[in-house]
Amino acid sequence: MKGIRLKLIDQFTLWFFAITVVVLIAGGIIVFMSVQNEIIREDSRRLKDTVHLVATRLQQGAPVDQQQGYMVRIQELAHTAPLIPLQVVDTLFWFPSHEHYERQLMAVASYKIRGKHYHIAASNLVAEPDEIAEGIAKSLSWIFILLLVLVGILSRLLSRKLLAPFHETLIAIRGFSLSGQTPLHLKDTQIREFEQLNRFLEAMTQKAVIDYQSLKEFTENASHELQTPLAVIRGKLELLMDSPITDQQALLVQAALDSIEKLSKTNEALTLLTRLDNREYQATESIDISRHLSNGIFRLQELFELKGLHLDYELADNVRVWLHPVLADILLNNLLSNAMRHNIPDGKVTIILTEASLLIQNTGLHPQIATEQLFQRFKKSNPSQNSTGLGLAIVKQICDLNSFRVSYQYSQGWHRIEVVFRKDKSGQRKANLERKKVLNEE
Amino acid sequence: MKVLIIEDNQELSRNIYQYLQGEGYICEVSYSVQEAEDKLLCFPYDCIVLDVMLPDGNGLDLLHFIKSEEIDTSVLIISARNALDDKILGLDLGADDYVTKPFHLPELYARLKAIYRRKILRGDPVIICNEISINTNTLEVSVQEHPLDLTRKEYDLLLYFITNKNRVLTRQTIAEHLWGDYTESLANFDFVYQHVKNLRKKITTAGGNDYIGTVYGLGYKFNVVSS
Repeated sequence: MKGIRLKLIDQFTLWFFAITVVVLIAGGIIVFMSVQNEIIREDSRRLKDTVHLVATRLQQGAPVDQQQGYMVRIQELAHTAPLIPLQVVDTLFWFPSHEHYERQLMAVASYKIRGKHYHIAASNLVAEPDEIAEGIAKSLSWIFILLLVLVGILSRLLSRKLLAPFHETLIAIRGFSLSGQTPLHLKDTQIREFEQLNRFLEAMTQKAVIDYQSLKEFTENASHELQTPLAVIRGKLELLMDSPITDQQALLVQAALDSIEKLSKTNEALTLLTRLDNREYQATESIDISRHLSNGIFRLQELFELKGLHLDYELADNVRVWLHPVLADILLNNLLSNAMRHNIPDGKVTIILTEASLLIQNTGLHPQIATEQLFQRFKKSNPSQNSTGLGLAIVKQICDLNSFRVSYQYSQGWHRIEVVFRKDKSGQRKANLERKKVLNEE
Repeated sequence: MKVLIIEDNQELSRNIYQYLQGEGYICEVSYSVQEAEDKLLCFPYDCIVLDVMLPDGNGLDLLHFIKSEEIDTSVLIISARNALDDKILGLDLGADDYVTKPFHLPELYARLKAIYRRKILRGDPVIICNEISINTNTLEVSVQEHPLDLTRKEYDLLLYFITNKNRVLTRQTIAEHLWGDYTESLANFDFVYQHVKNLRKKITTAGGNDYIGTVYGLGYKFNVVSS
């Protein structure tokens, strides 16, 4: 699922706010209930007391008129009417001056005092539920706004502090390179999760470095172990050549030498592919591919001429590409060699280098297999040809490793191989800056 | 010239030994770092052929040893192919040149000889082979005192031939000597034929003997009858 990617702290904050809203609403309801209950209970008690007090005063002989007032009304009932026990009534009451209903709490009771039956009512206006609710909502909103602002600001400040070890780890990982051969060393942190993460990363990179090292050693050993016997055989054959041998034997020696040549080239190419897999040639700076290309063309110019190929090129100046210089030479040499090798007599080669891409086209026979397959190892359009079938696989590998796009097309007698360099120069610059930053920190 | 071959593979060291002996060199062989150190301390050598991977250590350590003991000698490294680090490191540590496995014996010999010329025969850059003389400083070639106008490749080819005179040189060996790592692009060695043909023509036109002979099925040979 793809969504908007928020920072961890923003996620936390949003969840916190969501929970706060729920809590505040529930809290508001509780506060509302208890405030309302408290008001009613307190008022009821007071009103009951008032009724009681009035009744006591009447008992003591105070005149009825004196006891009447804003809150207290006394009526005489028929003596025979039944006594009304003390009770509190919660009613709505039309308030003419406010022109709306107000909530009124009224305690009523009747007493038979000195032969008369009095109905005593004490009443009071109380805050209506919506008024209480409004007050509570208002104050809770303010609390919420206050939280919003404070948490919003503080969380950012705090997260910078709390997540600092995490960011350091991120930078360290970004700067980690297997070919650097040093496992990560991360600082201790007080946060358990980060501590676990760091220890895990350290262990993992350590293992990766060891694995990488042993793979590299294996490759080197394997390559060395193959190269030594090859050198022995070649030397023996060369010594044999210098001894008197028949023409028949000479042909046998030459055939053996040719196979050794092929074996040696294949071994070399496979070793290179393994080293590329191991990412041994990481680009550390951008290079001037224009210069590399014109040097490559200069080196091969003579061979083009000897082969009678017509070479056209158009090179943009100072095209900078993020690539290891050794790989640049291998890439260009393989492409140029390919264009030369699989050409036809009196053929043509066109090379166009622009800021964005390198296009090499050559005349040639119709390919026997799909052109994209020619990037696979040991795939050859013409199996009888004396090539390793690894040249384009190496090209592909170099392009993949450096995020270049490479394509191979054939149309109307022309083979076109295009390498599109990595577009996001800003990405490169960024990567470059970060790498520098890491280096500086170390 | 006295050469110490330090190479643990016995057959490989025997190859080098045999080839160099054929050129009139005095050779000795060591199979380990230890053995080589002993020999270097006891006897003087003009040149060392040094393999990088040895059973009891890295050949590059021997370069340190040679430096610290102030042994006056030249070093040609045999490194594994593609081990770029070894080459660069070796040259930084004072080696004079390197060849990569699997090397051609004529190539190894040509490199060794070039070192020898550079370091030992400082005052005499001229190689003379009968009527042909080559000045390795100015890259000038003359036949019977007549200057010969050679291209760079033809010059390299002639020097390679004269260095490995009376030896069979395959087209492959020559191609690799002339074009190095770019022989991959050649597909076949017709170019070698072109160059040999041109060189032959230039020498004979200038009044020189036709030394370059074709060896059936294999390549060429620069025939000089030693007097």
